[in-house]
Amino acid sequence: MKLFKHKLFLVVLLFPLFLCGEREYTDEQIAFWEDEAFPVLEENCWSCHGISKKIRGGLVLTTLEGVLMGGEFGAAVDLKTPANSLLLKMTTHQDKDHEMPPDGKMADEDIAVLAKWIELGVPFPEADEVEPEGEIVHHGADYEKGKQHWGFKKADNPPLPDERMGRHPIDRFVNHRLEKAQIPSNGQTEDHVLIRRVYYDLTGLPPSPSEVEAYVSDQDHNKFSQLVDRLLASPHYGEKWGRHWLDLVRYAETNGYERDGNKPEIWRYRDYVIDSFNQNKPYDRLVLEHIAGDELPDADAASITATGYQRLGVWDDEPADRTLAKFDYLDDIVRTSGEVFLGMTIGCARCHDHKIDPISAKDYYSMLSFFANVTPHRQAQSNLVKVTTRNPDPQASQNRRNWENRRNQLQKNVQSLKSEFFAKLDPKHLPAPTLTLSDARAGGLDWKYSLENPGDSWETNGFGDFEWHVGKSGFGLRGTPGSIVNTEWKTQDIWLRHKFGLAELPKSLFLSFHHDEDISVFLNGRQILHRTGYSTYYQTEDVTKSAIPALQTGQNVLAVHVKQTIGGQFFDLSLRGFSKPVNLDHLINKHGKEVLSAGRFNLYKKDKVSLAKHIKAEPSAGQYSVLAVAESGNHPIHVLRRGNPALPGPVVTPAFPSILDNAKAEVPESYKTSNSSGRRRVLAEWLASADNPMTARVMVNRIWQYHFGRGIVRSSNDFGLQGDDPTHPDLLNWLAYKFVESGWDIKAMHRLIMSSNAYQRSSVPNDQALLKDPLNDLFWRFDMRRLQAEEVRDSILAARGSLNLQMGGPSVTPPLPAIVLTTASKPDQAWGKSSPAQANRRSVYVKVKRSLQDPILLSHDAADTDATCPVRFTTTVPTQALTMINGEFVNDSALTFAERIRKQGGSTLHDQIKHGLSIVFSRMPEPEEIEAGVRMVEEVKIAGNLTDKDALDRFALLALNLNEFIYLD
Amino acid sequence: MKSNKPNFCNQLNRREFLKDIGGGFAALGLTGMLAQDGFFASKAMARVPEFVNPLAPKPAPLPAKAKSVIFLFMYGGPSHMDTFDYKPELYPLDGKTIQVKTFGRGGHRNESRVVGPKWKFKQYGQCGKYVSDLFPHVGECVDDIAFLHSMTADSPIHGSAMLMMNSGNLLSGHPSIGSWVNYGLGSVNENLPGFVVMLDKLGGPISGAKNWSSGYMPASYQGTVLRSQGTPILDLQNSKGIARTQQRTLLDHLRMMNEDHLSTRYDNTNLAARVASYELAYKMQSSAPEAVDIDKEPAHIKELYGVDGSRTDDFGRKCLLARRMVERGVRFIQVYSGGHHNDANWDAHGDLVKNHELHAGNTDKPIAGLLKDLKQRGLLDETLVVWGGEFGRQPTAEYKEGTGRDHNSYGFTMWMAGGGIKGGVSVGSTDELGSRAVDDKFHVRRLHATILNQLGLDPNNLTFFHGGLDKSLVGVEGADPIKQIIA
Repeated sequence: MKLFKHKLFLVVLLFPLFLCGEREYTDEQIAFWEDEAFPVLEENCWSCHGISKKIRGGLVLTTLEGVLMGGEFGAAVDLKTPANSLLLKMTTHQDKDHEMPPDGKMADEDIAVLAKWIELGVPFPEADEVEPEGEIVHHGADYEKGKQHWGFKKADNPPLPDERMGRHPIDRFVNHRLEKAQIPSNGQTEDHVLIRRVYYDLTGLPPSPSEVEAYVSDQDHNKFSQLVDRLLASPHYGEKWGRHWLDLVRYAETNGYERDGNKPEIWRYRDYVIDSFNQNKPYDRLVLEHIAGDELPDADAASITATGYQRLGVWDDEPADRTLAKFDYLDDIVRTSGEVFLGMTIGCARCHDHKIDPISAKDYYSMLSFFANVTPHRQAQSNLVKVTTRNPDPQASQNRRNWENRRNQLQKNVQSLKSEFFAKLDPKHLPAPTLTLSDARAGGLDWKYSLENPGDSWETNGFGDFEWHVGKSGFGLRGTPGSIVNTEWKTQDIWLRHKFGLAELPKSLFLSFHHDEDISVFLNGRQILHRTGYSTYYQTEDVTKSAIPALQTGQNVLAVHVKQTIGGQFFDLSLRGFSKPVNLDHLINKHGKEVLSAGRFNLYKKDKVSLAKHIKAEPSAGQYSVLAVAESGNHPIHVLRRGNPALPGPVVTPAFPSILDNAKAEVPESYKTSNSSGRRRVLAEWLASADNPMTARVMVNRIWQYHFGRGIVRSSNDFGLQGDDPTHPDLLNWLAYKFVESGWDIKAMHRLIMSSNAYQRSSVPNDQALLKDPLNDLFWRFDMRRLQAEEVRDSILAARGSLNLQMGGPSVTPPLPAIVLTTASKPDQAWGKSSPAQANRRSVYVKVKRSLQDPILLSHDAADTDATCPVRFTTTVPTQALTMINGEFVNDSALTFAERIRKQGGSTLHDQIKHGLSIVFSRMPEPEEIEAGVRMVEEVKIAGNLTDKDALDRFALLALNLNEFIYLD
Repeated sequence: MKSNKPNFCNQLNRREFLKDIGGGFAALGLTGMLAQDGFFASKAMARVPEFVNPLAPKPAPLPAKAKSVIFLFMYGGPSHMDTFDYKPELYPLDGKTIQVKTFGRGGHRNESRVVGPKWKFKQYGQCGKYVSDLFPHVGECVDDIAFLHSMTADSPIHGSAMLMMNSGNLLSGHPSIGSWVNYGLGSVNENLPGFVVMLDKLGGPISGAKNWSSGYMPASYQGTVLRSQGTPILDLQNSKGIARTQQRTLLDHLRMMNEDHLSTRYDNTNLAARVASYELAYKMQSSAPEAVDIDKEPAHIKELYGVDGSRTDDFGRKCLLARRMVERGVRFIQVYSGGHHNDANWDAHGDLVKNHELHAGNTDKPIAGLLKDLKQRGLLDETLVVWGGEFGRQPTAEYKEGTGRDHNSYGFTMWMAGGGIKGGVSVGSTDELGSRAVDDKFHVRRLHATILNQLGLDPNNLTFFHGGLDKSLVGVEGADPIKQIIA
């Protein structure tokens, strides 16, 4: 794409002469204007070029001056050579980069009118002029300026300032600036402050009073680096720094929108992140795994899990425009990846060239095409990928196969008898039916079917299936075991749909089916069943829980895909709903003998017991499912004008943002696999390369930010022209250089940063320094910070002594207040109920549901999950105080905390207060502070006529609300 | 720090903003009030910079006609041709299959069976507006109402359409209109949230809290759920067994200990903000229950709203509460009619008559009561009332049988009253079937622009920098207020 650097506003100087005189037009000119030119311009051009709030491309066509001056691409008309006028080139679409109007070509006769108008010398009576009021909007950024921007240039390794500035290289950079600005810096903070700072910083947890005491009294010169090493080796380090990463990648466990459905197994991605930080996985590897973990030559369970990153975004399972939704999905990946890995707001170039940064729409779509073949989001299990832990034991695999064979046999006996029973049971034993879709055993059902792949969204209600065939079930080859064939099907795949109306929702629902081979069943687009392999009999499943939430009154659609590989083939199913709950197990116990005969009923009972036992003894084969990416097909990507899929421009191929790298992104033949294009691996390797000017700098800036509370570049997701300049550019470059040199070693970077004086400074105010540098741009002190949302909740749990430090696994759902639950459209199904012990797990394990959040986390500014969150807000509002002083969680915690104080703190009130404060402060309290606490207890006792116990309970609540508890020095 | 960054529309740069939301340096508002109360009187606080509540009131940049907005959200999508968009030609077509392009939950269609309007229409008021028998009480108020018959939205699917109506965007993650108002104007009454949401007793709308989320803005701008019965706001009530006097003692000591902590950290405004927030919370605890205590309302007022134990009681209570919120300076109040799924809201896919009789019957009298009560108090002039759902419904049947109508975002009706809006006017129109807007199409963005405009905010210049863009409620395209209905 051409890059435009013209700024045409200066041209104004050329025109005053021309415009000086009165406009005098012939009758012919006036008539042509009134009858021809004016209506054409008004209808086609003015809405963007004059009368709108925003004037596009700097071009005003509602005044003569505007027409003559033109916009940022040049004068609109060429009066000497009318045919060369830009107005004509763009409207005739000769200028392929600017086809106007953007929403479709004008009629030829209208274009001819414009041509004649120019030939006539653009008559434009003053009376018809409309003075523009809108803001002028430019296209494209200043590319040359962008090239000079510090953020997009590869950093050199800067020389260190001289040793006089300090022994530590970071201090040399920092002190050099402070000395120049003549700002005094703070000295090293006290040990008890430092250990608390380091504990929260590396683990998100407070040190215990005894840990503080041991540290303070330790005389070893190396005690600080020993402390840092110890905490970096703690598994809680990964929980803390993994949480930072989860902010960036918009981690959530549901999709948002109407159903806010779960993202199955996504917690494995969270555990992958925590493990990766704990293992100190090199950052370049982390990047490779996130973008192309499935395409790497050494792909493994972990790297495939990492690609779950590309499934974390919001997803509307019922979009109004499916094509647009596909691009929304890819946009989410490109936008997030641009900001997270490159610190560039590439997403802004989706609809047009970036306004400020040198990123063109072509750059955007070229980036997007790396991801073009990623399969779309799908319901429930559809995006799961099976992975196997490395080196599975051969004996274990054999055991697993034996176990599966036995299970299959038992299942066959139990299932086929159950299904037969259900089919034959006299309806008088069942509640009134609300839905009956029959299978071939009861005569079959008319289905629409297609033998051709129907493409996206075929399983949804809104899909048009009028051209599909109609056939009666079952479908398949005659002679397939257990089959009743009414419609012959012998191709590899079959897609089927059956629409049905529903007056009221059933209270119970049963699906009976027979499949040969792989089958997926969808109800209104939601997958309710997926089976691989084949069966030789009908089986019946109670799908009340899984399928009724997918039903609606009015029209519903049942959609099925069956895939055949070898041998016989067959498909049939029935769906029966009832007005009341039905317990099939009870019914079979009651009527089984008469329906099935005594012998077969006994077999059923015996095998059912055996099956239950057998399932419990399932051997592990090291195999599990993760939510990950897969690719299919080869989808060309066009530049979409105004981001609109209906306005495709030229086709693009994968390429890197041209401001950073002009080399073409070639995909080596060896990168292609049977399932995958290899494109993402090319992108990943480029991102993770030492030559990439952005990646290392962006990451070291983040590490710095999470240590100091702000990045050297404050806008840590935006290193572009709109972002903040680095306060210490040389330091940033030097750190980036070190980072790459160390092998992208994150823990080494922590050690480097934390060992500096800059990190260990006190946070106290200094009037002289405050006057010169109130925002602490130069790091003359360490900035205080509030605990993050997770730290607040975890610290409260820690203070009361009931924090459950169990790691990993599916997320937990601590109790939520009723008023929060009732905001959900289905309050009773919105949240789970964890056991008390599980509810006390660390906050990083609390379920992240997009439409429902724990108030204690939400009110302390937990990350918004709909987009990448580079910096958390720190808001302070009264409702937060309400949650902390009246909320159930904090009040319950206060009671437990008080109990702990009573038990551990000694027998006197004084000692108990002392113990309580030492816990919330992570230091020994001063005598006056203890006195203040004692006074509080005494006063509240009198004020409320309370018992000793109640009074101490109130103190515990106060202690959890103290600023010193919630803020770090 | 030098600042050569583009500074769009004179908004604060991010750093200033980030500072501001944590409580910033300012000479206005809250501090003065607290100082009068003797709150910052202690010596340690003498050097504390002044703190301003992030939600402190801000003057409207443009002349404002409305001070507050009450958005009566008919979740599920009421049928316009059965309520306010009179289509006489549709009745005789009942049962006939005709060519008409529709797009709803059931996909795109080119022909379907017409369902004639199920209610009669009557003329009301000076303006002679036709209103169906579903809304006889609202009919009495038509001379105060401006009807928008040509609304369009980008999606006929609930999830995305709800987000569009609430946040101007089909995609999740954007601030809701109430958050924009909170951000632009703050709250006049610091004892109450600036943006409250009242939900149907059957449950929230789909996507729940996303509908009043502050998206990429700080959480302090999000809507607060307000209940009409029981504790009105989350955690407003003291924990069990803690009387208010005890709490006062506790807070006094908390303040003293926090002040000690602050004395050596005197420049930290966030710490001061946190101290102040407890005092505000304490005040909120005493004033919010009073604000929601509708038992004090006289019987004839309750009667006006239908707060009488009948089917109108629940929605009437919420409308009455909405008025009380307006009186107390709350900026944006959203009241939901309908919750949960299927026929628990206006989503009439099955039996249109049963569904709309239910929801209109529950809300007609309360809505009219609200308009009349606001008017007789002189509050209607400064209160903008908005009525509508996320879309309308199709003139044709969704299924072979029955009267259910599918969703319709091609054309539907909303209305506005008060707050500087003309009364007794109807603008825009749908075709003779009501299938799509034909004249003066008004996109949802135009509605949003109108609401912001009436509050004295410039819809095209109220922006928030996020993800590399100055974002606004009305989007990059911008949108103008609907001039035709502005008085």
